[in-house]
Parts: sequence; structure tokens; C-alpha cells
Amino acid sequence: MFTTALLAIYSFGSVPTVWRNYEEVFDLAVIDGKVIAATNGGLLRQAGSRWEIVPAPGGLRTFVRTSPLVVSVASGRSFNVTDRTWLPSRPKSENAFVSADEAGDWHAPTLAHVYKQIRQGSDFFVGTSDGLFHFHGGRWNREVLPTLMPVNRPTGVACVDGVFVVGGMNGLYVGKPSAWRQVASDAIRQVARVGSDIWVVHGNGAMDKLDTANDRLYPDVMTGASKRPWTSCITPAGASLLCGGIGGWVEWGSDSQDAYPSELTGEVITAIAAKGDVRWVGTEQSGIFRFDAKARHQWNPGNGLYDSWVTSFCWAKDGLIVGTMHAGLYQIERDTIRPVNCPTKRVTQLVRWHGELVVGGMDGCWLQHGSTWKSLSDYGEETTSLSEVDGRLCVTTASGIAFF
Amino acid sequence: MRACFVILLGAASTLVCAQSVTSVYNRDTHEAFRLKNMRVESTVVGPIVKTSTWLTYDNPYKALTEATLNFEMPGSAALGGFAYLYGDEYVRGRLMDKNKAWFIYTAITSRGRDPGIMEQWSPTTYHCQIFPIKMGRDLRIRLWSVGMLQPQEGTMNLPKPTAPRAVGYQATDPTLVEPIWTSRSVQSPPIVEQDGRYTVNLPSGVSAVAQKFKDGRIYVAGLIRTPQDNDGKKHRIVVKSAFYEPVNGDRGGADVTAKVQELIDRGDYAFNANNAVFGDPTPFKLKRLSMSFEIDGQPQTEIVPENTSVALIKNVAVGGNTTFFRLRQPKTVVMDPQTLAFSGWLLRNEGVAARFNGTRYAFKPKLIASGGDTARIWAQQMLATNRWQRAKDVLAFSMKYGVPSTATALLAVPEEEMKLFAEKEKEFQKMQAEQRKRELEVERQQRNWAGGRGGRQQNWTSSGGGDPEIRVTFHDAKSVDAILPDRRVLQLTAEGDVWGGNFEIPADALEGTYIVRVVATLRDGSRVERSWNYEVDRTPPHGKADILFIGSKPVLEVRSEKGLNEVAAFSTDGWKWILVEVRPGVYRVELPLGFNGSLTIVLKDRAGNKGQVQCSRPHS
Repeated sequence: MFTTALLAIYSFGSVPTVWRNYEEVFDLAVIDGKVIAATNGGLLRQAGSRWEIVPAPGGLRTFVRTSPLVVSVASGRSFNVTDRTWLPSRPKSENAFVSADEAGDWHAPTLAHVYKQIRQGSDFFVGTSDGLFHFHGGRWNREVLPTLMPVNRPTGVACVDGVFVVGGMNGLYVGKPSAWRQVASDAIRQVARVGSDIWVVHGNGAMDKLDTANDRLYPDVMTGASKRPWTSCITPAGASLLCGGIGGWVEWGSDSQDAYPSELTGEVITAIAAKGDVRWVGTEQSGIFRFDAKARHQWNPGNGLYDSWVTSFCWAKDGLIVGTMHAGLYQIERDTIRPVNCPTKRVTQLVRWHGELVVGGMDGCWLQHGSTWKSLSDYGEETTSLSEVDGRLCVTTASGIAFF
Repeated sequence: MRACFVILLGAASTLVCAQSVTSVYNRDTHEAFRLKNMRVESTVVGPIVKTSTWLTYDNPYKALTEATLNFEMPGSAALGGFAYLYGDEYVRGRLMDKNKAWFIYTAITSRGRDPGIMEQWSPTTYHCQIFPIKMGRDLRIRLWSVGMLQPQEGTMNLPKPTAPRAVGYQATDPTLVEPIWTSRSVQSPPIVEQDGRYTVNLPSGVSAVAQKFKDGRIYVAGLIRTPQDNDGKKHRIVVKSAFYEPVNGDRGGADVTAKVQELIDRGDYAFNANNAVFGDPTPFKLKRLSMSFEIDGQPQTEIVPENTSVALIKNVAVGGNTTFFRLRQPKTVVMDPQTLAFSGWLLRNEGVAARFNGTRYAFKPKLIASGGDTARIWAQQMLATNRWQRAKDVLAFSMKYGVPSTATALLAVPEEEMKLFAEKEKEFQKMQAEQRKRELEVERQQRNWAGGRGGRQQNWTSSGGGDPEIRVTFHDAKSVDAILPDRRVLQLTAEGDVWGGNFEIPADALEGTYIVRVVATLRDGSRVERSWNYEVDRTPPHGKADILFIGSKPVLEVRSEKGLNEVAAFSTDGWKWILVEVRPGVYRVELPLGFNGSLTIVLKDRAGNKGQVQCSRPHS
């Protein structure tokens, strides 16, 4: 869930602010005569024929206790829903969390995996990997849950003319809440919009172009067009697209140009930025390289960048902001680099929105406001992408999407 | 290059004819259609000849009949196309993907109607089916091709199409029909008729023409003729004996010594051993041509099976290398010891130099009207002699130049079937697109499971969080589920026997060992279970670094935990050195002589955790 106050400040438009997928129902319980469901999207409570959202983290797995209500999440940590606090974590012992409920002789109404079944009076409720089912009046019904997006672990969102494209761990979807269509089933790494086209990087390094105007998907566009059709990251640069790969990058515009400098041999490119003819390239193993017509410069742990794993770039007024996986933020001005104060050391994403820097990390998301940072998440979830979608800030986390 | 000649000589086996029809018969009864007449129109442009042949066969059948036509082409020529008359409608074959042609052909056949289809069986042999032939109307077929003038007895002749009167499965009347021939010459010396042959008095040396093709290149086709005197030695071939006999050597064959000698004397150094040439002395029996002959006094023997090309000239050494200057991707066909057909392309029409039989020739091809004739001659050679790795490349090349190949077919559809043709064409394209999508998906999956270009790890054994991938092999599995440590059950997807999928390790997962159980349900209903562990590790590695001197060389040594993923040292000026684990937990790299700066050493474990140590003072 995301900070309510900030939602009040920034949210607008008809699209709901937070989208989650509640269709994986891991555990069920009855409290005060009402069924509650622990789902991957969060906690749901039966309210007549509807299901209402109870404030709780995403990625719920089991009910540890019902009074007070304590739930465990995917990471193995426990959360007290009643007083909205995390319980102290205990070191994990082997096998402690491994279990899978079997359906037994249950005549499941679905081919999906059954996680939990409970009885309430003459009714049955079954939580499965594909929804919540309710046996009532002699027949099975699939319960309508407040699911607004279809993917687990979303990793990118883009929108053209009201049509959303959402990529995640279980594929790529096009549409809008309540009307999604799956167009790819493998894991998606990144989604970016350039003009009216949407570019999609798959987990395996393939890159597709989605033309939403004509409802056409051009798969694997780099194959045959580039020497090394494996993409690790993409960055829009004006009308063209910079595609980082292994050992170099491709500039995809009216035509494609490959660049494989010897300095980058064997390096996986994790971030790339451009200004004029100058290119900044961030790597996983060797820090940052700057290439221009005259000289090449590099920053790594030997000369001021105390982490060689660069995750993201973002332009500031007076230089380039650099996110690193273990050492927080840095700023490069001309040839000098300096650390920037930041609430997280594990930066995964950067974006500039309404002139302010937004930092996504493995443990939350923050908006820089003057010299202070405001947290955009209540539960410190991993930020999987940051982008501007139709003028709104879009933050994806392991359990959902939020628009500010 | 000499080896190349030997290969190409095989392709030059049927040089003498423009189109050599070998059989035309009723596909149901196998009875031969009787050829009523053959009209040929030849146009000579420089050394190239465009030949159009109309074959008119009697159709005695009172029911719908399907005809089969088989014919051969010279190795130096390219088929331009085929057409037939459906009643009075002229139906022309369109070149297309062979799979697409057969898909449409089959769809139309299922309605009891049938277009004509022609496919290539080898670079020089073609097969054609036409159904139905209109009742009471003759079977009329047109073939057109582009090739080169043919050398014969010191003159250059127009290639003569040949067709036997009536040859089906059996030779009813194998005598060759004399064509009604009209010819004209454009930008070439006049055509002279002599003893039923049409001859062009082409001077020795090079005769070449060039055409601008739609791709902007200039394609060149030509002939190089070495004067016989310059050769110094004209090869003399004497046929001692030749028998066209049963392939097992049984009695009953025919002595064709005189016929073979006649062919050679005519300059036909390459011909076909078939019934059309030698008649059918033993019907229903496969035959062979067994020959004994001398070349320049050297005795030779040759036995070739029926319907195989005979190339006596391959036994004759062709002197010297053939080389070209400026002509790109040159292709050559040796037509006789003095004559070489060549083709290739230029970026612009400019002078070309060639060396053949030890003589150097410099020439500029004569540019003629734009078109595809010279390009087709070259493309045919490319298709016939190049080693093609992928069928789709052959298809694309064949379609570009409009030359039939093993990947394409010519499909002729009457107007009344065109609506169905268009529907089926669309259906095929949709099917192809689906197929391509599936192939891409498979490629993508394979690339993923192969670790991608980044060599990323699957089935991780240590992690700090993320969405790694499971990959596991089960034979004969119906479904495979991965039961993850957090209770989630993931249905894995199959690629052959390999099953895979992505799962999530939360960024805040507690440190420790986790177990993934994988349960496969096999096709026989039994279940097989496997499991593997992964480690969530958030503790950065620690270490100690020193610079040692081994001999006089400075060596950086780092001691830390064993099995680190990477240990790298960075100097203040940005240099990076990767250390190698020389013993468990000991990592070393040799530094440049005289190194005296400070180093930052980054230790990275398999879960991605990083630790750093500094080292700045050389240890002496």
C-alpha cells in the first residue's frame, strides 16, 4: 500500500490509484462470521456479496493467528494487521516454510491448484492459484475480487491513448482494468514508451515492439537487425531508443546503430543515458563509462563510485544522478563524482517527476522534496519500476502498481 | 578453380536444348499425350537467347483429365515461367513459396478443380501437373526460358527445344518433333538457318550484355570463346561402343554407338541417357548407357543409369584457371573446351577483365534495356551451385529474381478459381504468421533456458532476491508443478522434456536455505518428485588484501571466503584487474611492474553481496 497522504496530494483521474492482483488466494479464515482471504495482492474481507480490501502488505501467504490477526508474507516475515506493525523476524530454519496443501478428495471447481478450503455453515470457500470459489445453493461460483491488474510482480507499465501495457513475471498484458489480454507469457524485464510505440524487454533479452494503434506486436525486433540481439535495459532518448546489451549498446531510431567498445567487452549494460553525442553506460561489474567523440572516462570503486553495480541513471539540473545496488546515489558533474544523501543504499530505479527525483529501492520508494525525502510506500516493498504514465507517477512493486 | 569446373560440367549436361520435354502423359492412365505441334520463338540478344515454346497435345479424353509434363533445361539457362490454356483462357504460373503453392493447390483440388502447378526437382529438371484439361480442347502449354547460345562445330547455335512425339510411362513414339521455329536477332549478328539449325556467327573473344535490375545492380551474362587455334589442341573423341541396355546387363539392349558418335560430332558433349534420345529397346525395364570411347587416343569407359546426364567432356582437362576482375560473384559454365558461359554483377557498368584457357580478355558489357534476363541467368547458377544453409534463404533469393528453385513452385490458377485462391493465400499467410510466432517463442524460450547472452544463472543456489528461473528435465511428463518455499505452486511450462518458469525471491526474504519441490505427473499417471535448495544470503564477504612480490613481480593477493563470484581490483585511474582463485579462498592477480598506487578491491559473492577492501602499500 502507498502513503495515503501522498495519494491525496497527487492522485487524480478516473483510473483507480492502486492496482493489485488478488487472484492467488493462499489462506482463508473466518473472523466475526466473515471470511477473510490472504492473497498475493493483500488481505480481503467478505462484505456481503462483495470483497473489501483491508490495509495490509502484499504477498500474503498464511494466517499465523486470528486474534490479533497476524499474517505471514512471502519473505517469511509476519505482520500484525490489527496494530499494523511488523513482528520481529526470526532466523529462518530449513524447511520451516515449505508446505503445500493438497486438495485431497475435494472435487475442485477449477484445474488451478487448491491452497485452502474452509466451511462456513452450509457453504464452502476454496482458495486457489486462480481465484476464490464459493459453493452456495448447490453450485460453485467464482467470487469477484477487486483485482485491477493481472500480473504478479509487475516490472513495467506504459499507456497509449488509454490502453495500458503491463509487464510482469508471468507475462505481458494489454488493456485496462477488467479487460486485459495476454500477449506474452514469459517474464518481462522492462516496458518503455517512445512516441506511440511501446517497447518491451523480456527476461531472456528479447525485445518486442508493440504498436497499440494497430494492435500489432512485432516480436524480437533486434534479431536480424543487430549483431547481438540480447537486450538488458532500454532508455528512451528523444525519438530513438538506447538498448543496452552485453558488451555494448544499440541506438534504435530511423535506423539501428551498434556500438561495442572494447572497454565494455563482456560487460552487461544495466543503465544507459545520452546527451547529444555523449553516452553514459552503467554496468553490473565495472561501474560507469562515458563515451564521447574525444575521450572516454570511467568511474568505478577505484575513483569514487563505491559500487561497481550501476542500476539506473536520471538527469538532474547540474549533472547525472546514478543509482547503485549497494552504495546508494551519486552525482556526476563534468569529471567529478560525489555521493548524494538518500534513504536507501539499494537503489534499483530512478525517475524525475514534476521536477523532483524519485528513488526506488529494494526496500521502498521515496520522493525527494527539497532537501527531504518522503516515503511513497507503507511496507517498504521492493520497487520494480518507476515511470511517468499519462502525466502520473507510476510505481510498480512486487505486489502491485500505484499511480500518483 | 579446376575442381569447380568439374562440378559445373555436370550442370552443363543438357546444354544442347532450350527446353527438353522428356514425357507428357495422362496422370491416371499413364498414357502418353500425342504432340500435335511445337511452335518456338527465339530472340537473340548478344549472347543470350530468350526462348518461348508452345506445345500443343491432342486430348482424346471424354472426361476431365489430368496431365503431367516433365522437362529439362540446360545448366546455363533459367526457366522464366510456364502457362497453359484453360479453354481460351491463358493461365500463367505465379512463382511462390512451394509450401504455399501446395497448400492452395490442395485446397482447390478438394473442390474437384485444380490449377496447374510446376515444381523443380533438380536445378535442371521440372515437373508440372495440370488439371483439368477442358474436354474437347487440346492441351496447350507454354514454357519460356532464358539461356545462352550453344557452341556446336565451331558455330554458335540457338538452343533448340526438343519434344518427343509421344512419351509417357512408355515411349509410344519417341521421335523428336521438328519445331515450327521463328527467330529474331537484337544487337547480335544475323541468324542464319543451316541444316535445320539456327546459327549466329558470333566472333571469338567475349560477347557480353548487361542489364540494370530492380535492385540497382548491373547483371552481366556472356560467353568467352577461345579460338580453336589458340587452344592448340582440339579434343578428338572416338566412340568405340555404346549400348543402351537393361541396367543389370541383360540382353536385349540397343547398340547406340553411331548415335552417340553423331551427338559428339555435333558438338553435344553432354546429353541425357534416356528414351527420348535413344528410344526404348526394353520397355518396362530400367536401363543404362554403357560406353567405351577414346579422348585424344586415351581409352575411357563410362556407364550411366537411365535418365542421367552424360558429360563426356568432364574427362577432358580444361586448361588454366578462370578468373574475373570487377565482376562480382562470378558464375561459370564450361560449354565446351573452347567456350565458357559466365554471369555476375557489377555496381555500375564498367570494364571487366577475365582470364580463360590462359588468355586474358578485357571488355565492357553492352548495356541493354533494363530487365531481369541476365539477373535470372546468374541467379539460376547461384541456386544450382551455391551451398545454401537455410530453405528460407533459397526462398527469398528465388522470389527476388523470379527463378524457380527447390523452395518455390509456379502455380497457375484460372480466373474462376481466383477468389478461392485469394482466400487460401490469406489463410496460408495467417498460418505462416502463427507458425513464425511459435518458432520465435521457442527460440526465445531456448535462449532463455540457455542462459541468454548474459549467461545468467538459472536454478540459482544463492540469491539476494529477484525473479530467478527454474529449469528441470522430466521425460514423458504430463504436467510439472514447482512447490515454492512460500507455498506458491507454479505450473511450469514445457519445451520438449525441459520444464521451466520464473518465481520470486522477495527482496526481504530472510537469510537461510530454502527448498523448491518439483512434482511431475507423468503420462502413465505416476508422480515423480525432485527438489533443490537455494540459499538467501545477505552477508557481504570480507577479506584481507596484500601486495606481494613473487620474484620481482608485484602480485595482489586477497584472502576471503572460497567460491566468490568475482574479485576485482580497481586503481584510482580506473583500471580494473580480475583476481583468480588460486586456492580455496585465495585470489591473486599480477600487477604491472612498478605499480605503486592504491587499490580498491571489490568482493562479490554468488548472491550478489559485495564487500570492499583497500590496499595501498606494497609489501616488500
